Amino acid sequence: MKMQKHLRAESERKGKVTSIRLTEEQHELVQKKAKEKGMTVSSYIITTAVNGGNAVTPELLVSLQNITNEACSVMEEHDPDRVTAIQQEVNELWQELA
Amino acid sequence: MARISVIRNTYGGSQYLKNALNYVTDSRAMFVGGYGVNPCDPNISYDQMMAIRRYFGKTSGNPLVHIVVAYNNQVQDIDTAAMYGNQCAQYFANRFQVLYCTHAKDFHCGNFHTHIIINSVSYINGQMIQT
Repeated sequence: MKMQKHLRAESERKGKVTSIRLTEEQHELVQKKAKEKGMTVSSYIITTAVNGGNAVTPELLVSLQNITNEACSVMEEHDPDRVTAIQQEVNELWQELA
Repeated sequence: MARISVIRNTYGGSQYLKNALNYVTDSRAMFVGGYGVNPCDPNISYDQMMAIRRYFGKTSGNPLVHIVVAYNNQVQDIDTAAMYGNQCAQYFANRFQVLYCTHAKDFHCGNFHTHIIINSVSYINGQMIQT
């Protein structure tokens, strides 16, 4: 039986290469920050550059969602309508990530 | 004891993710919980998982890892089953979005089983999950 492969979509293939100039200090700093995130320097620079102008981050939204879920689980029995409304408000913040 | 099945090679892209979230949260789900996603609505959970994937430019590829934990007969009530499901989900939750749902017996051993759906892209650094 032929195994299927998970292929990256054409639009997500990284076919372009560019180089950037950095000072020794900048290079060390970028490497350190990428390592702290568990990312390659390339992925770190791309993610930071592409999403840099965005005030909300995935980590922030996930933390907020987890706090909301916990609060809603306490409220659920007493006020289920409010739970739905709160979850919708949090979901509006998720739209900011896109 | 519990029997654990891991479905890690899933095909069909984001539609598979949507189908899986809808499947595990359907009317058979007796307890639903989530980390990094809204557990009350599978469509919102899907949007939130896709938002992470878009952020890191990884909407294609393997969309999820699906784990099924089937408990043996020592687990006799939904609260205990849900607690174990939560503990399993927490293991992944510090790096990945997770939706978990506990069902009564329908095809595995014991009285209850928990489905755990994990977004394969980490919300911390965009890395794909390694199984």
